[in-house]
Amino acid sequence: MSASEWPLWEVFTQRRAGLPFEHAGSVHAPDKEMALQNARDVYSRRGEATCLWVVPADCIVSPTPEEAGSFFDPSNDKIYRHPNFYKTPGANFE
Amino acid sequence: MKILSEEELELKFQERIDKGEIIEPKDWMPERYRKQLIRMMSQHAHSEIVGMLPEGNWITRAPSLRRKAVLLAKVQDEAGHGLYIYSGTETLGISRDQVMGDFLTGKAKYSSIFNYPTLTWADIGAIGWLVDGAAIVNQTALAKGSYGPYARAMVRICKEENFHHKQGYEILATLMKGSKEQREMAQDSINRFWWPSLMMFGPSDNNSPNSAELIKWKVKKYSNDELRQRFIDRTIPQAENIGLTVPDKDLKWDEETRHYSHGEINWVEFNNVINGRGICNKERMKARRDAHENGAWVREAANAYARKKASKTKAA
Amino acid sequence: MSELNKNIAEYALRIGDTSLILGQRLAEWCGHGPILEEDIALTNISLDLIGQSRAFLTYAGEKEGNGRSEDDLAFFREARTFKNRLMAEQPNGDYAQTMIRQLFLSVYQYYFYTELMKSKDETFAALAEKSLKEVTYHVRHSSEWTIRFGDGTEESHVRTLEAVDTL
Ligand SMILES: [Fe+2]
Ligand SMILES: [Fe+2]
Repeated sequence: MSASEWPLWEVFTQRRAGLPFEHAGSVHAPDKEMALQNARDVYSRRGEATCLWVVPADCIVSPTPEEAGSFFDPSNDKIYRHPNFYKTPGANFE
Repeated sequence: MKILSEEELELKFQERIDKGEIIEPKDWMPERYRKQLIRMMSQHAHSEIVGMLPEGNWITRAPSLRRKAVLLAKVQDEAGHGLYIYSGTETLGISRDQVMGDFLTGKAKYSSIFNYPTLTWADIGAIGWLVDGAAIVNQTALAKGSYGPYARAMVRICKEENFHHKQGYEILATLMKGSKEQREMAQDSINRFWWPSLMMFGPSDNNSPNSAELIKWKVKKYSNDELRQRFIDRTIPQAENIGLTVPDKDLKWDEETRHYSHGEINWVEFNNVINGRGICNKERMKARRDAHENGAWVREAANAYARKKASKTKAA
Repeated sequence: MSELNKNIAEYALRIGDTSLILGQRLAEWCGHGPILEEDIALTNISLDLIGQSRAFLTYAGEKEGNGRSEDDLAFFREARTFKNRLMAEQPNGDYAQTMIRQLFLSVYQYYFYTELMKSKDETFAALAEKSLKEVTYHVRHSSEWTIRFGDGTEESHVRTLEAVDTL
């Protein structure tokens, strides 16, 4: 990275208290304070956020596409984890 | 696991595309797909950034405080658009500094429309209405493209773009209700911006070297001519609504095709402007280079401070 | 027009003019900032200031009672009759000068609006309360930059000292 290039951060915004944080996009910033400010200035110009997270992009860990099969397919056949798997004649579960 | 050959991988990739699947950054993709995306996305990002200049020219001279705030917010959004798309490009393994470097050295292109000057306040109306209007048609299509980060950036951008389009139309509508001079100013601006706006969709289909490949990969969902037609069809009634005439004597509604047919685009002019011989090419490039160079010490200072602080916390 | 209304109009005009001129100065940076993120940040500050000036000028026009709008006051006055703090109109210079000017004025506005919130005039108090939130962020933004410039590189340090001297 050149002397004038800033590291990349990922930005997550919360639209309203109580809602989950969602990935909004990225910003460049030299440090966490500036990352927070830049995230605020770039991703909450239309009242889209009531809170923010910023995370250095290289701190985010995710499986590779090759690993995706072994990571996620095994949970596809556990249908008994879903409530509609069960027969409950006549009873009201609402 | 069986190791797949390059051809098998490419076949599988095409199958995914044909099924309408979205490609994410870590997925396998043909080198050519990556290259084409980088080219297209960075061109798009550069256009957003250069696009700030012709309109920025009128921020300090906007005719009312309301219009000043609107224009400032609009031009700021374009900086945001550039930023979102550069971020998308970075997921392809190329840094913003690298693509910016290609742009500042003149290697990468940007939309020819921004090499035309903004001579009057009406031009700000024309840009919002025509240029952003064309951008919406383009970007709505791109939002359904096959590369996840690019498509997501487009979704975000399209949400912001609608106000750009409307504020431009409002400027022209207001002028058209004004004095004779104001109406002439609005019409003159449409006379100058109409054809360059049509050129924004790129060369005609029979002359567009990258199109077939991009459509095969669903980076683009529609051809340049299809999108251009869509733009004309929705823009002409808006023009008529406020009494503006587009400068095309061959333009007419075709009952059979249910589309407007239009005159021939001046492709010589298009190529001239794309290849650096437009009215404002030099000025635009200089402004961007100056901003980048004059900002280097600012970016460096912030980095130097961050390094000092990090080493202090380590030592403590 | 009553003496009180005249004084309120005059006072509102002073506040509005400072925000207007500073907002206009910052707007000159739009499209020319040192990095995209900062271009956007500075424009946010400019938009806040223009918003403030619109509110205060509108109020000045009301109290003046001659039917002058925010735009009449912003666009149809002689340069000599503007009542802004002179600091606000100082040229942008380099980014250090812009930031130091911002720091000085934002801190000034911070204390000013804090006091104005206590005004017996309800409009002033309400406008001050809204503006104070904006200005609090401006103070934060410009002080973070001042710290980085002062303790960044040799060059940024020198430029910052020069800016402080100039202003
Ligand atoms: Fe845009
Ligand atoms: Fe736009």
